[in-house]
Amino acid sequence: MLTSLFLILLTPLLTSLWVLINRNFPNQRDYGAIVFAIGTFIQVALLTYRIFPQLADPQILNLWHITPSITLSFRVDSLSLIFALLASGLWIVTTLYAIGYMRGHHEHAQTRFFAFFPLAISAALGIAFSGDLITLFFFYEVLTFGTWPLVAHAETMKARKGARKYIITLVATSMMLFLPAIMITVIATGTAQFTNGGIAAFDSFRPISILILLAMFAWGISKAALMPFHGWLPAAMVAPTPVSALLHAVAVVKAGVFTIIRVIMHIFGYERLADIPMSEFLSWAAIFTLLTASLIALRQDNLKKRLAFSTVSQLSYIVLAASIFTPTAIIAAIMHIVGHAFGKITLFFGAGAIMVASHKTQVSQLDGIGRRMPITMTAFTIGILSVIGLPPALGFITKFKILFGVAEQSYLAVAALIISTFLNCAYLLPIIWRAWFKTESSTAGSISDPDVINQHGEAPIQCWLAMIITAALALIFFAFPAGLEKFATLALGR
Amino acid sequence: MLEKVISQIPALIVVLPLVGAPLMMLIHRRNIVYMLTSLIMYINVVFALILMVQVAKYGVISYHFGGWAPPIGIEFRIDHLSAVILLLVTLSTAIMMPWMYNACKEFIENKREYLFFVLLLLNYAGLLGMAATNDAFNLFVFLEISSLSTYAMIALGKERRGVMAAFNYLLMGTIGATFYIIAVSMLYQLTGSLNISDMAARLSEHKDSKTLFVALAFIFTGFALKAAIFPLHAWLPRAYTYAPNPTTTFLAATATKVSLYALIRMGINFFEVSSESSSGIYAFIFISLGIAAMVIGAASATRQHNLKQILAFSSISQMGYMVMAIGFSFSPDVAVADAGIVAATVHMFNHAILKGLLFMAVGAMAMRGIAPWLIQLQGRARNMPLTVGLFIIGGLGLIGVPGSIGFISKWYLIRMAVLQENWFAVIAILATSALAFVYFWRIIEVGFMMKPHPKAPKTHEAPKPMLFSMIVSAAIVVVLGVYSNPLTGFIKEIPDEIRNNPPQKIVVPMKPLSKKAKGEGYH
Repeated sequence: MLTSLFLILLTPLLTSLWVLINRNFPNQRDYGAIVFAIGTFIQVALLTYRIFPQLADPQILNLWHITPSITLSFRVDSLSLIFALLASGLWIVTTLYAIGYMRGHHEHAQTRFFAFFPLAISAALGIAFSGDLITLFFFYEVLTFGTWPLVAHAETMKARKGARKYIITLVATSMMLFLPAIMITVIATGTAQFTNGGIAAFDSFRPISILILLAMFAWGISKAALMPFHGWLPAAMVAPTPVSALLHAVAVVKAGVFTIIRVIMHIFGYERLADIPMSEFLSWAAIFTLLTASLIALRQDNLKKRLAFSTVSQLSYIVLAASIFTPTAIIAAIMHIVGHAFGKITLFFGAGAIMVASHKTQVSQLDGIGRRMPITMTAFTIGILSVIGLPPALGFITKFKILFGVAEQSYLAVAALIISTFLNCAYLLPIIWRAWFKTESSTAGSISDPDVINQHGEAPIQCWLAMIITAALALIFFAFPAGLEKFATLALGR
Repeated sequence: MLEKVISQIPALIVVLPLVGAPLMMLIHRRNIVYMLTSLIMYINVVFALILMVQVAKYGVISYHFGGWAPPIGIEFRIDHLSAVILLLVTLSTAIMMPWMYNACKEFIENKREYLFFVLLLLNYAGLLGMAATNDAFNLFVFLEISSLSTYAMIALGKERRGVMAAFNYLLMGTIGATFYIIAVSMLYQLTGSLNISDMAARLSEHKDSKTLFVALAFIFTGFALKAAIFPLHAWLPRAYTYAPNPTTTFLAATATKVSLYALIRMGINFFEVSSESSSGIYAFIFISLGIAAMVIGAASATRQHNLKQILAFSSISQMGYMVMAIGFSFSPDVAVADAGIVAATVHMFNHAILKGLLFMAVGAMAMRGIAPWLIQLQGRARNMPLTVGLFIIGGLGLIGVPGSIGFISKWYLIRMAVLQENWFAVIAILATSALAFVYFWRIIEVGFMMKPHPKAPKTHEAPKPMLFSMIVSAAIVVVLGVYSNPLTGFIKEIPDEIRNNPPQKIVVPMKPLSKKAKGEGYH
């Protein structure tokens, strides 16, 4: 298992090396990267296949002591495999999409882009397979620093400012809340190892200490974008769209909620948290975030910004489900990591494809675009259905799982989810309406939007091909959700 | 034969560079001088490692000069703490040597280059002597050897402002050394001894003596000046900024740490014998000065526009961590006191390696004209990606990102503060590392994500010897960051050894040759 884990983490880094070596041969560089991505996915799949029979027991691998009290360790269980399969699988599609996008958009510094992208994937996989908080924190920080060049890619004043907000929020919260929380855990309990049912030494803690620690974790892991530390996510939308699509809809943000689920399940233990009075404060924070973010999304005209706020609110669905502290709700949270990913990545792909083809970035410019880009907008529509939670897309199933899980505990949360679903409809459905049913306005080329083109067709083939794949995945998983559910159930262990 | 040499190492490690210095003066030929100096440096690393192994094996090594027993004669005493400091000085200097080859050519006038190496050897010998000796007056002598050569080294550059900075430092440094010698004379008057451990033993009768209190104040102020502890740090930014790059690199990696080591040595032996109430005062002074230095140093660093100045203020801030850790070592709670000493030593070692790497990178960049001013760097970091990449590794270490040795020291520092439940200190440590992130990331952003000035010429990568030095240094940063057990395991022994003060563990080193006649051969 050690070798396969090692190879899984190494292959993306080799991809970076490949990209740097072939920097003068764009085709070799980019399509080679896809081959590497497929290789990574196959390795994760093989690992899954091999240890599937023993999946109820986590496979733990302690490597060595960094200092006498810090260990470097890895852990493979179904939670980590779900996240790893998701990240490495969507990486293939995103690389395909990125080729079309970067070339269609005539981006500069493509080698840097393609070299740093795998680094982020490697870090995300590292987070998935970390066996204790220290190891996880290492990969968490690598992910933060590794994505910075991607966010600041444009090198304009605006990009620099966005990237600055991105990295300062993430680093400050992780260093001032997450890290001290880890250290207190290690010093007080003597370990930071993920254990089923949580670390036993927490039994002797006063409830208030556990609540404070939990709060430090929840807000310190700001990749999960709980308010008020959500601002980096809209700010990071200055990045090229493939980055927003894979990293800021799947890998980075899901790494955040993944870590929160890990902490709840394997550091504190959800049964222990359920017994503590006032531990529902986390669900209140999540409800507040998901409603506020939806309200803000209503007012965003920039398509990527609107999607970003939608992501903030969707992440809080997952945190909300995890913070109910019941088995059904946690399974729902894990499933929604996947359920949200396919829909949201399709939407970002769509936003990027529109930008490449027509240079349109605002929702209000999208009138009638469905007739010019039918494939893109069909996939986009499926993505929207999935994100809102309507059939026939995977989002419907996972959202209902969350609803059922939440209903066991609190009807208020159910009400919040229903309101939020209406809000989702209110900010996402108008996009479909505009695209398919309105007639194209003729402001193109006018003073208000000088760059916009109206005589355009589909984006490059790589772009819409990628969108078809992700939209199809959302539909396929809607038809066959049983495997995913079984996988998620295994995460609870025996 | 080999055994004999090994038993003489405590003296040899100091004597070798001390004898080498005048020899280099006579040789006078640049390349030969360089090669011999490097040779001495490399041999000394081996010596330091051997000493570490011996200390780990036999415990404290006490070396009696001229065969005179300790309270009378001069004693070199290598325990775990001084072995770490010896390794710190020798290792970080040895790593620098390939870098020095190009750097000295660039930054120091040709005809004075051999002088630089002479001074370097002298300075180096002084620092090693300070780490090795157990004699208070002897320590003063070594302190002066290293200080005097430092002043000359600062003034040796091509820039005229270096002379002024050297003079400034000379005034401060002399006051510091004078304060120290005043304190030594007071302690001598009180105890009638100059051997540090002997003095400490005798002082237990004078716990509440006013003389002791005043002497300790003088010791603290004296070394605070040399180690640039806030608020006596004013000389440091100027000296670091205007000194030629090779000097800055050497000083930043070693000099301040050794002064701080002397303070720890005195602290262990003298501050802790004084009465309970006053040790509370010392703890308060050290911790509050340390925290002030951390925060103010880091905050000033965010406002500078010169890379060398940014790193200088960052040094002040990092010294603050160590001073704070020393403050924790005065705590009555044994666990906290131990954690304090360990944290201070770990951070000293790690910071020496990190600062060495950072200043080497800045030197390499300055050689190609993209440093030290931030405006020179603007958008041009891509011209020398490897150098700047290594610079980033050093910077991430400074911030304390996991996977680098900076994280290890931050871990120990926070652990110490959490053990005492001193949440204010925890917050200060975290805030300082956040500030470190701000001042450091600014450099990266300017270097990579801004458009270069249209007229700025393209430069190329640093010469290979420089790169070699930096890569070795960065490798240490990363390797010790993911596997620091050997080092921290060694350092963990320090508090135990201090508390138990085991005279029986002393392995008698080789007696001087003349003594052999009396049948007291070495074991």
